[in-house]
Amino acid sequence: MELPTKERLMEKYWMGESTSADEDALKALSLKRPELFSAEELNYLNGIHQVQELTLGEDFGKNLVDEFVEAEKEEAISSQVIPIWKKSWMRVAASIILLIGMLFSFQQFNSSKILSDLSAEEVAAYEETKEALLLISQKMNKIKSVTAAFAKFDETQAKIKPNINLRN
Amino acid sequence: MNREQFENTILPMQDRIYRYSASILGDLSAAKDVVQEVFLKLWKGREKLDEIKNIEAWCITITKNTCFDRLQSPKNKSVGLEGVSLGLFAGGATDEKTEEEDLLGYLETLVKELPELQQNIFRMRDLMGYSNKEIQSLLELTDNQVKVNLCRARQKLKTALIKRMNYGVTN
Repeated sequence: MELPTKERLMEKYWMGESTSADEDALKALSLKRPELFSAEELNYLNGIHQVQELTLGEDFGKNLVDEFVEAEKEEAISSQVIPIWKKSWMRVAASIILLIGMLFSFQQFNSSKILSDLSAEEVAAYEETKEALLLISQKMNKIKSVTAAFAKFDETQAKIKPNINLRN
Repeated sequence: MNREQFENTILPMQDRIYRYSASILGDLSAAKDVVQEVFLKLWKGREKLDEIKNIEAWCITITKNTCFDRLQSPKNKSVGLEGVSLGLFAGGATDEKTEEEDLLGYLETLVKELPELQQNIFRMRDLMGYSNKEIQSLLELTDNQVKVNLCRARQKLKTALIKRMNYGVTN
C-alpha cells in the first residue's frame, strides 16, 4: 500500500509538481519506512531535510546587532579628534624641525646664484667690484709696507733714545 | 533603516541565508560566518537599505557572492564542495565533518552540476523553503519559468541519483 504512495510522491516531486503537503508526506514516509527508499534516495531526501532544519536560533541575530552597535560605539570613541600634539609630540617636533631645515636650505639655494645665472650688467658690476677690491688690496699692501717702515723707524728710535739720555 | 526596522526586516532572513550558504559551502561553521558577514554588510549600509526595491532578493545575491568569494579565496580552498567527504557512502562520517555536513556535501555534489538558474531555484524551493510564488517575485520570473526550471533541476538530480544507484558511485 505504501510503496505505490512512495512512487507517486517521488514522481510528483521529480516532476516539480509536488505541493508542500506532498513533500511533508514524503518526508514522513522516508522517516517511517526508510526501507522503501534506495540508499541514494534516502541520502538525497535526508540531505534536503537536514538543510531545511538548519537554524541559528532566535538570539543569534539580536546578539549580532548588539555587537555591531557596540563596535560602532568603540569606533566612534577611538576616532574622536584628539589634539595632534597629544597623540605624538615627538613626531610633530621632528616634522617641524625637518620643515624648517628644508625651508632654510631652499632659501640658501635660491640666494646663491652662480655666475652663469647673472645678467651682463651684473657680471660687469661684479668684475668692476672685483677690480676695485683688488686695487684696494694692493694699496692696503703698500700702506702695510710703509707702516712696517715706520714701525722699524720707531723701534730704532726707541733703541737710540736711552743712549742719548745717558749722555745727557 | 533604524535598528528596529533592521531587526524586523533583515533578521527574520537569518535561517534562510544560513541554509543557502550551508548548501553552497557544505560547511556549517563557514555558513555561519557568511551570515555574520552578510548582516555586517547590510548593517553598515543600513542608511541606504530603504532605497532597495527587493531587499530579500538583494540579500540572496549578497549571500551568493560572499559564498563564492569564500570558495575562491585561497585561504578557504579547503572549505567547500570538493573538501566535503561523503562519509555515509564511504562508511560513516569523518572526524572533521559532521553527519549533517556529509549530507550537505552529498547534496551539493549533485546540485553543483545544474545550470545556475536551476541551482538557484532548487536551493530556494527545496532548501530555503520559498514557495514558487515567492521565487517568482524574488527572481523576477514567470510562474511557468519557475515550474519548468524546478522540474528540469529535479529531473537532472533524479538522473544523477539513478546513475549513482546503478554504478554504485560512492562519492
